[in-house]
Amino acid sequence: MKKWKRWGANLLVNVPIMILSLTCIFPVIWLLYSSLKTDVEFARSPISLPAVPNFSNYVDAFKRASFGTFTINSVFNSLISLVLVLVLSFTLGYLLSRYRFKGRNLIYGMLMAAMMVPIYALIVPLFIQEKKIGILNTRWSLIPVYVAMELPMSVFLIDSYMQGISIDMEEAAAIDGAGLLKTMFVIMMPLCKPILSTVVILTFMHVWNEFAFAQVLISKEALKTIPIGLTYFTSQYMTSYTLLLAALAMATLPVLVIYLFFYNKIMEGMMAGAVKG
Amino acid sequence: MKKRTVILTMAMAMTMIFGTTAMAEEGLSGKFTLFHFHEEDGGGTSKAFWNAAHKFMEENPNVEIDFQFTDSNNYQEKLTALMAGDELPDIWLTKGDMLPTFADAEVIQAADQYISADEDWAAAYVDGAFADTTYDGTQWGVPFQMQANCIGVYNQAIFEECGIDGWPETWTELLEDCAKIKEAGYTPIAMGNKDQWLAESAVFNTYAYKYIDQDWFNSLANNEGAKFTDEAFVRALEGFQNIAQYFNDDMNSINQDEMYSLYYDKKAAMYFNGAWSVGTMIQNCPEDVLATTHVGLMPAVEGESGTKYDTAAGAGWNYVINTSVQDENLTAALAFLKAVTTGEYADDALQQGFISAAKTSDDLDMSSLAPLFAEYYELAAQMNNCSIFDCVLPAEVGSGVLYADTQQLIAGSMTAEDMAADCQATLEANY
Repeated sequence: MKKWKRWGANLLVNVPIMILSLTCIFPVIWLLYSSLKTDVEFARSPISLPAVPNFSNYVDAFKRASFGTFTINSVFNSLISLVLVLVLSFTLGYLLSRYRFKGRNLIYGMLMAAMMVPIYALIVPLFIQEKKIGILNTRWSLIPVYVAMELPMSVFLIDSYMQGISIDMEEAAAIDGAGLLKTMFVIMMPLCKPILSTVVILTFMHVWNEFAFAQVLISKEALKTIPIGLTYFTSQYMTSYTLLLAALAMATLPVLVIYLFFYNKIMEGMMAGAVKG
Repeated sequence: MKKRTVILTMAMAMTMIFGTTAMAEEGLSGKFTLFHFHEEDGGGTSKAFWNAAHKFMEENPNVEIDFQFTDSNNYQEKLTALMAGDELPDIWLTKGDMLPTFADAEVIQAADQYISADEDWAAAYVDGAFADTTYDGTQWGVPFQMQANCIGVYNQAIFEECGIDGWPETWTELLEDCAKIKEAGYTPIAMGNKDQWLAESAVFNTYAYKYIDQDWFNSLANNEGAKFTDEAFVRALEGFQNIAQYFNDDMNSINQDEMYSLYYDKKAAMYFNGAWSVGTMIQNCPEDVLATTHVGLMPAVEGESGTKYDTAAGAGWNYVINTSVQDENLTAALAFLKAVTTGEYADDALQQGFISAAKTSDDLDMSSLAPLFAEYYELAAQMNNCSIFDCVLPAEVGSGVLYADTQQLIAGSMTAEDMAADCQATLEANY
């Protein structure tokens, strides 16, 4: 009887959670099977399963949106931005959490203020700024923007996480003769793995999917990124949904891979950062 | 004497041959950038554009064109950024409602001065092609399409099943037919107004012309006496609110493509939308539905001045040329614009399922057109083209308050009088 009761209670809790999870995973499943339908099938019923899987959508989508070039550009932008964000935010986060110096609050305040500015308000001013500097429509148009965009959140996360780590370790390192750089990168960095994983996933995801700046700051075909490629399936009066979905499935893959690599750490990092912050 | 004549003739012939060769080799040269939304592998207008553009580039290898593509959904936003950053390209596409901004800022040069200088070019366009490119008496742009913004598309099999023998001639007939269709369990008229433009621009705009006429609209647009609050316009709004009872219930939460799905699935008997939907039907409609699909003009309303031929139609978008384009670059750009808007382009456009702003050649084989498109083509020839509201009125009114209020009107959350007053107030603030 007791066993039944527990089983019933479990069911009561788990079934709603499972239904909720299903609503989260369904769009991805829908995306995958819809990408194998023909345009007519999709137009007739967006929900039904494909009669015969049509893999040619992937080949067509790859060709039509210059996916090769756009992927290289997206990978380039994401990786360089990621490295820069990691190094800069870790350095900043470490120094802000461990040192009390004049102007510390100002730096902290400015970073936090940057998080409040809506991205869309920055598009035109940045366009003009980049034009004046001479980096508009070049390979370096997007990276500085992405780094600046991601830095505040990353610094905030690292700073909060670092405050939860006791300084005993650093004192011991200092006694043993380790310098600042060694303490930072050899001793402390490995301890921050969970939060750094969070930063990796968040930064990669944002940069990989970023659309607004890529759209406005880049005009050359050779420099465009994947989110821009996803708009290539819309002509003036028609959208080729099945090709678009195939392209979306391909574009989602890298984010999924990165997520699977780091997902164990992300919860740990998020919790630690949030609770102690 | 004879010998001398022969030599002279030969010499002349040689000069002519070599002279022409030299000219052909010289050809056009120059370079320009073109900002556009014609997707290279897309259908319809895009396909005809690229066919013509590729041909032009083959024939003019010395002309260097930098094509800058942005999809049509994001086009205007990027154009705004380019304008704000003083980075406008050499040629770009713009809609009639943005012309005043460009013209007043003196960033574009009038196209009519060049078109009228070339007789062939000037004679190539159909009547009324320049209506949407004209501002302040000057034709600023080069149009490339000429579309009806409203056409009725219906499933004859469903009509017959409901005991209706054909497309209605009058509005009363349409209402009666709708009642029969609804009774039979179908949605009489499919509507996908999630993006707000469809109900107003592609349906109501033409419906309004059953009550008002072009002169009234000109007077409204130029602040010469006509007002949104005029009785005839309010009656049009009331009539439109009445027909909304025959739309699908989720009219404001589904988009154009979902509206098509209702039609493809035989859940809806008809819909009204711009002529672009004819191309979409030919491409995407299931064969059994397409076989029984026909098109018709929006019926006239008894007792009102408009006829079934009065339809909102026009070029909508057109190419404009930057003031900074001069000399050989300008010559090359003009030749390019002529090639991608007239001549073979016009014939090709028809084959791709849309009507260009230029006249087609006399020997074009009409039998090669898709049957549904041929049907539309015949209707289009009878239409009395009237201005599209959102291509002429200031954006705040045309694609602002008119769109938003029409959405509320059909949802029943706004009365015709309130909408008329709201539109008039916004228009007055933006004259």
